[in-house]
Amino acid sequence: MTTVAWIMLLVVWGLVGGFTIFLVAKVLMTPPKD
Amino acid sequence: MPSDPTSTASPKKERWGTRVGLVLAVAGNAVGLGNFLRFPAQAAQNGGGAFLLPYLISFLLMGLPLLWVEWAIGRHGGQYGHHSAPGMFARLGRGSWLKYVGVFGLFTNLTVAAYYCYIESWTLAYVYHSIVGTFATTPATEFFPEYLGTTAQSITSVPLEASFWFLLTLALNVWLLSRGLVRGIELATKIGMPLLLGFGMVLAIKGLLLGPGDPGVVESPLVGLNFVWEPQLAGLSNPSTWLAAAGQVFFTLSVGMGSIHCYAAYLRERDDIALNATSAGAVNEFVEVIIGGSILIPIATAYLGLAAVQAATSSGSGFDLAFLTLPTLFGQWGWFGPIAGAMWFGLLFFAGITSSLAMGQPVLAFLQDEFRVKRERAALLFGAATLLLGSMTVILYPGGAFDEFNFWTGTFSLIVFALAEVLIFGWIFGIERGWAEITKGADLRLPGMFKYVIKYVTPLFIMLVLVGAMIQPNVPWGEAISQLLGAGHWPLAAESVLGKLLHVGDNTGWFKADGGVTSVFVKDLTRVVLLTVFALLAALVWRAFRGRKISHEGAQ
Repeated sequence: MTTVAWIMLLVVWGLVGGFTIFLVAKVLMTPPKD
Repeated sequence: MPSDPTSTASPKKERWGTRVGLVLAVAGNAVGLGNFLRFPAQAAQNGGGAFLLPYLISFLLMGLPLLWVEWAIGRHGGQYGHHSAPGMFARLGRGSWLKYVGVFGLFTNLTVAAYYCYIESWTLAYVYHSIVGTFATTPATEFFPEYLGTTAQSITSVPLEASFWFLLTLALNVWLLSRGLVRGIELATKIGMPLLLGFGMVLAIKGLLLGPGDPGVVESPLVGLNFVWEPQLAGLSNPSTWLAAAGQVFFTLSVGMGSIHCYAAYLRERDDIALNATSAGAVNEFVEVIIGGSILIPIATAYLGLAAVQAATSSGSGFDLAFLTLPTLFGQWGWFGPIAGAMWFGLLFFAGITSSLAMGQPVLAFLQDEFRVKRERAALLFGAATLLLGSMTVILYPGGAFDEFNFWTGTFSLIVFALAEVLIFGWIFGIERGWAEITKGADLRLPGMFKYVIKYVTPLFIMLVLVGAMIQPNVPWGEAISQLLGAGHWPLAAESVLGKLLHVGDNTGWFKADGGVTSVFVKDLTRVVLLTVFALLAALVWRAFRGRKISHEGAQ
């Protein structure tokens, strides 16, 4: 793997993974409305 | 709103059991075979890492807005007792034609399910054959044509084993659908999605850890990963890259189907849709970008070398690698080989069934809501219709019926429906009401700029995808424009919409010299059948809404 490929992979994985974990955690932690 | 006298809502309304179940069901609907087979090949062939920039931009400006719009239309329609697109669209404005736009939400689900359940059945059959060790003695390249019955020079086939697995898959779908939202769909996704994620992670880790010491390995799997991620910056200035990225985002999210609308219709009026929709979209991206991109190409590269993998994915699909190559490669993994095969095809099966259930539910809901058909009976009717249409793709597979279904229902109709829905939502329902609908009860604050994105940018994005699909050239776009300006000729690709319509590159007529029919005949016959299905569904919608007055609270 070239350095630039690693950078692309880590940046995109970080963005997508971070975004997903944040949202799923928010779903799990938000209490039901009723 | 729920007390609307024209509502067809039944007194005992079906609801999702849990919020997690709903998010998993919608994510499961989006996660399909394309996440594992199409994404890595599309990325690798369209600029590698550079593909991800237009991909993420398309996700933000087209994918997410479409998800919110579909959830909003669904929850809004659900308050009036409609869980399928015709009724939902009838409630978006005054025009009586709106419900006929909703016919797309039945048509695509029914006709895509017909051929998609066939693919799903292949994965189930491959799980079985992986476990019993078929691929240890018969290479998948020999097994698959035999299985499909495409070995003879004929436009028809009656593959007995494939038909058995197809019937079994259909029966499983019908049974799960007949059990209802919570005991059927939600249960299946709660089991299927974690298993899919687990299998995917095990295979990705095992594949990426392959090294020169492992038998049969000719190259590091990281060379394959590099093929997917190395940015070819020249790709960014190529319109094909942008169109491919927008297309991938579009198809991976299962937008333009009518199934997301249906799932969202089982929410209460003030239930959140902003966070649910965004989370489901994000889970799909996680599965696609992180897991989907790390299995097929790295493993295939390790055993076949990069050049062979580049050739196998040149069409932009990893389908051949998945079904023809990987089963044999798993044979190198010793005792773990059969387990790995079962995991690979098992994860594809779970990806498939969570999607096909989402295709069945809108059809069931239409029959239940608008014709008062009981759920079990509606599930059987869906199964019968899917069997009838699906048999056409099975028997006429060698003649091209399967590909015609895939193109017209699984590609073209989706784009048309998505364009229509975002225009109706932004311009007829009204973006102010629409935005209020999206943000009502929201557990996630959405930036207000998306109001304008939904009204102007998303429709433009989809129009570009549609125009790109209509006139896609068989040479790079720049070269095609030069040819048009210089010679007044547009080099239409055979796989473009116009190219398909005009049978570009197919110079035969309907009949051969000996009187037999050609694949052109099969393709045209398939199109007539699909148009007939659309017309029949439109007639059912007309019948369901005949004489019924629809209220449109505050319609513009």
